[in-house]
Amino acid sequence: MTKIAEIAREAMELINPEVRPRPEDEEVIARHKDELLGLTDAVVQAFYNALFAHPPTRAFFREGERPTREKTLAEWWKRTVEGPFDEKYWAWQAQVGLAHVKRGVSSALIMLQAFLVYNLVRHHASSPELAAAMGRLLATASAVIIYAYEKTQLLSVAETTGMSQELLRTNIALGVEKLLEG
Amino acid sequence: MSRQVELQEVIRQLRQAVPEVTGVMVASTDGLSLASDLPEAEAARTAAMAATALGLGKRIAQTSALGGLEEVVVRGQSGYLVVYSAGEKGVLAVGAPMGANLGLIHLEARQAAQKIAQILG
Repeated sequence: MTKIAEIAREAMELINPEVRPRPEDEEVIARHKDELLGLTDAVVQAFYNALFAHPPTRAFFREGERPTREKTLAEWWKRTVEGPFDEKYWAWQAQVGLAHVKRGVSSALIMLQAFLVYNLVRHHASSPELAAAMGRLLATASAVIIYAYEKTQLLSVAETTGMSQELLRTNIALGVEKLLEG
Repeated sequence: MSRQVELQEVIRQLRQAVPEVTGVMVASTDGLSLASDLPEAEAARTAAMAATALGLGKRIAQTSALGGLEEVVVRGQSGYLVVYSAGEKGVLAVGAPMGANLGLIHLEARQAAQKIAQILG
């Protein structure tokens, strides 16, 4: 198993099965595949309009990069809608987390953008069960992305500095205590 | 004799051998304080810093092809903090004032580090 797949598995083990997509969610999403694929442009435009409208988030992008990023998101949406939600899919989400670390995008933005996509889907979904299924799927995908984002940072600092993850956690705990002291 | 008592005895012997030493800390490589003669309030932070210095020192030595790490010496305007590896699980940190005999400190502290490594297994 690759390191990325291992991180994704750790994330999935952490997530309560009640919150993860259920087998029946996969069926609902598959049944509404065309409806969801029809939202591709709306999802992509809403996603990047939000990021490009705000100077601090626009700053994450290079000049002329938007079409490439839109194509990547459209591919992500297609794969997400078409399933299956297997280990390969979750490992891919973990990989998305790493890409965001590399770009220096905060994990807070990942959560906000996932919420934006979910809101759009919920607004357009033809049934409450589809909205609920997509909600569980998007929440889980975001959780895996953010878990990988955090884990990768810890692993990278551990690798560069020679500190164990336990020592890093000790340092973090001490730093948090200091911050709480004011 | 408990591990804690054994570690305190190593600290006592080191202080006796080099009286100019101002503080001694034994920590785990995870940054937890195991024994020290520092005030309790300082122990947790010093243990984490010592383990961090050791981890970073080892990685620098490895990356720069310097061979195995002997010690990390931090020299400030008022004194030294020297961090030694004490086996796979331990870290020994020794504080000393400026002008202290660093050669003697190394000699005694390296022996102490070996004893600590044995105690921690």
